[in-house]
Amino acid sequence: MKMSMTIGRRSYSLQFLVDSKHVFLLIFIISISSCSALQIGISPAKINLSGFVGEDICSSVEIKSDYYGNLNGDIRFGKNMNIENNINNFNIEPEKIGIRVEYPKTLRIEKDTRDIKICLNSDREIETKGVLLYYPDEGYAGVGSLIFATIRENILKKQVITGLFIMQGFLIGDLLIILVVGRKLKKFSE
Amino acid sequence: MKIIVLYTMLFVCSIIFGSSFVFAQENSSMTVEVDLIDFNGTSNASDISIEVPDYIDLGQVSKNDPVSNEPNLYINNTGKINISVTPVLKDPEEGIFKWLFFRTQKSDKEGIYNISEKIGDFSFSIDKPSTGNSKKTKNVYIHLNLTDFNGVINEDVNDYRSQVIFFAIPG
Repeated sequence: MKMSMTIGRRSYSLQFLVDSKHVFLLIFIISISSCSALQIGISPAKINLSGFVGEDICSSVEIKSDYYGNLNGDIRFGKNMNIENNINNFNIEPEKIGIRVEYPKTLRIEKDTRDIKICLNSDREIETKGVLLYYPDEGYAGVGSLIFATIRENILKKQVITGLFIMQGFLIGDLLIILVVGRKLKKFSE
Repeated sequence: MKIIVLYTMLFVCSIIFGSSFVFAQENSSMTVEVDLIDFNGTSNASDISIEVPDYIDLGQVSKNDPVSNEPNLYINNTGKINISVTPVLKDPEEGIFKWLFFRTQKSDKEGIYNISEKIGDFSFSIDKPSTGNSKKTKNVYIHLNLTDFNGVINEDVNDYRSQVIFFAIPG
């Protein structure tokens, strides 16, 4: 008798759970537990790449994620240094402004941290701001570091080369003068 | 007989009572645990870090009711500095989800209006986590509005999907 009463109470409790708002709570809890989120990070936030025309200018970057798969990399530049930090302002491909960039365009990450190297090179003077972006193949979050690129002519190197050319010119001139003067002296002595 | 039972009960009770002291003595060195982090000034967090949910369901839209539900998304800044976040369609040629709209609040508040902005025009900022916290959360409301959609949808499509990437860069 007691046993059957207990079963009855139990079934009543279950009925109460099914009939009441508790079922919505149950669905809500299940929904929360089935929802997942992707986390991805990049360091440093700002990459300063300053150097001379024609030289490789490099820096290290750390990528970190709880994602298991491939990350895609992308680099875009803005019109100048003063643009606002909004990803929509960075839409110029590096090649279009004469910048050659080397970096991993795809990166395998297995819920861990990866160190990568980014290098810029240009044949002309440039001062601009860009972003280095990484985002997963199948994911909904991406991160980017700001790139501050300042590439200048190496004036000292240019001056040394110019000086060497001038000196070379003087030497050739001197040799010619010595030759001419020598011949004249030879003729005069004869 | 009763006396024997009584003595046995007393004996059992005394053992139980006594053992509680023994266990208390054994447990007198209570284990205390704490996580000590960031004391050497180097946190494990990246400078720029973001956490975004993988999936959001906008419900159903129809020709007569072209505006979807407006669920809220929780975007977390899990990095060390303030960030600027911009949602971008993974496929820029996507015809339907280019009509996604976002806003950070549903009502006018503190001089900020509750105007929704189309994907591509919308970005928002999230402050860095406050001291002692690992994340700072911002609420963003998202909906699909096909009122001005001019394309042709010949048949009903269930579970139509696209990918939106939330890009975080320094704020």
